[in-house]
Amino acid sequence: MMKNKYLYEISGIEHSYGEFTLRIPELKIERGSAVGLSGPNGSGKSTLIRLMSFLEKPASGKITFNSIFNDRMQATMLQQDPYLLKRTVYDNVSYGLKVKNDYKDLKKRTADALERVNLNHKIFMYRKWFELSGGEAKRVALASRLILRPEALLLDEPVANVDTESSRAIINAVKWMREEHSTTLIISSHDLTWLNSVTDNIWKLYNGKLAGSGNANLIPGPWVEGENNLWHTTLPEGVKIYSTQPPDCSIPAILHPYDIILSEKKLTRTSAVNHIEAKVNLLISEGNSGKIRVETEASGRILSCHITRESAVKMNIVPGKKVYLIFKATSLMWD
Amino acid sequence: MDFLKDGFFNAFILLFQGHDETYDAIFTTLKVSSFSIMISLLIGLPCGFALSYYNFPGKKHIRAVVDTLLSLPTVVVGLLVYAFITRKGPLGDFNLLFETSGIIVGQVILILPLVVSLSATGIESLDERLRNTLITLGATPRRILISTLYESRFAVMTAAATAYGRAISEVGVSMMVGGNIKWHTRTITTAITLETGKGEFAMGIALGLVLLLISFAVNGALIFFRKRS
Repeated sequence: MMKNKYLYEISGIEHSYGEFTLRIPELKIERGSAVGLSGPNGSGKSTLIRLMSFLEKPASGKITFNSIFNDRMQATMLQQDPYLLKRTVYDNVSYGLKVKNDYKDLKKRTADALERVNLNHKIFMYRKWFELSGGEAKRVALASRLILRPEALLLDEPVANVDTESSRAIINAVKWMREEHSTTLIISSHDLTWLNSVTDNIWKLYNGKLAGSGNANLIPGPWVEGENNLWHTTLPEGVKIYSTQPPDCSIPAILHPYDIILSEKKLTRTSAVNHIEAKVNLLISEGNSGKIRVETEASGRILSCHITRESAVKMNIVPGKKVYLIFKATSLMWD
Repeated sequence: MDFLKDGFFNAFILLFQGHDETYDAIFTTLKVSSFSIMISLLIGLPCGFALSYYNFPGKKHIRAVVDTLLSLPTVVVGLLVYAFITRKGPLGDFNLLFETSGIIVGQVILILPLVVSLSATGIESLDERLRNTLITLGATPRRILISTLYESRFAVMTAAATAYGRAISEVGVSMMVGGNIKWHTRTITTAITLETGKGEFAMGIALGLVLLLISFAVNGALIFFRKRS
């Protein structure tokens, strides 16, 4: 039987916790892809991950996995703050296989899974759960998912509160899973830089709704009416971003990276009202397209824009350099 | 105070010489309470799990009833079981009265609320992430039950030890349902009651010492398993 192109198909889901409601009218995730979920705290990332892990059923709508409604065994999730069973590392990592009565080469497969997350199995295999640091515990929890070779691996803030070594081990293990086993990755994270390095596409969530995808910048509200028919929102460190009238004062605006002009100097006499001072954080080459994505930090918020390789060389764009991001109020789009 | 000194002295003689009547009461107690605790754990642990793990209508009321039954007086249990299993009672045909099986029934009723309540409390105190972890690792409902009980093993062991302590130390059920029949249903506690009433302190003290030893052994085992885990 030919497999559906899409591993996940979500349609019309609504799920509430108190006053918060997650609403996803439609979302399809291709088999073997790596999808990132980003958004501020309380935007619904963890809720969506829980629903997609089949830990909970949505109050309405449906989520299909491989065209069926529930396939918990093939989708596994690593929680933000994973729980280790009160047993040895070996028992934790091999648990999922034992559950499936799969005892073949258990020790070897457990050792391999531990090595995959850069934990020496000779040292860690028989350590007890309380003999691990936070980062090591997270890597053991990831190893216990990797050993299952799931079709989908859902990770909720996998590198939050872990040391650099653990973070690197987690990235490498997750990338390996995708390359070697075509595992579909769904990863939620605040860390856009990290997320960009692992995923093909990032879905932005805001207040329980999908608010754009790709590398689009999400500028959250609230939007306040100002002079000359312009509205503005204030970034965390006080800089204002101007827009045209939003349909709703609380919704986020989407700013596409190709709508931003990167300049070394503050320009005057242009029709663009937004001239935001920023610091270059990172330059990422986007395949063979000749395009470079420049990730900047502007008044406490990460904003990305695209430039050509030639421009980057000519303008000597390097991490740490001060630049200006210039865009028109009309460039801010509303979903 | 000489009678106490003599009592202790004679108690050791009875124990070391292997006094048949004393050892019969000890073995009867161990047999009855071991069956009682096994049956109670088999019934009580899944009930405790269900009571703490699932949400269902009337859960709070059931929990309140179970918690109330923790202080059930042993003589009341003895009286009720007696009324049910006496020849005229609804379960009279089972011939349980004045049999060790009758005592087991009574003790199960007595200690079951302890097992249910203490195991439920233990499971409730577990981290709520455990359930998600087990589900995401593919555990079936049966496996979730076993793994959850294993994760709360210290609480389960404490529940079992507490319930066992109540079973071996109760008098009411054994006396009323068992009838304290020599060589048959006489347990440590009923023998102590009888012998003390007769002024035979030696056997009472000997049996009391054995009871204390069993309690120490149970608690020692608990501490040992905790340390090992």
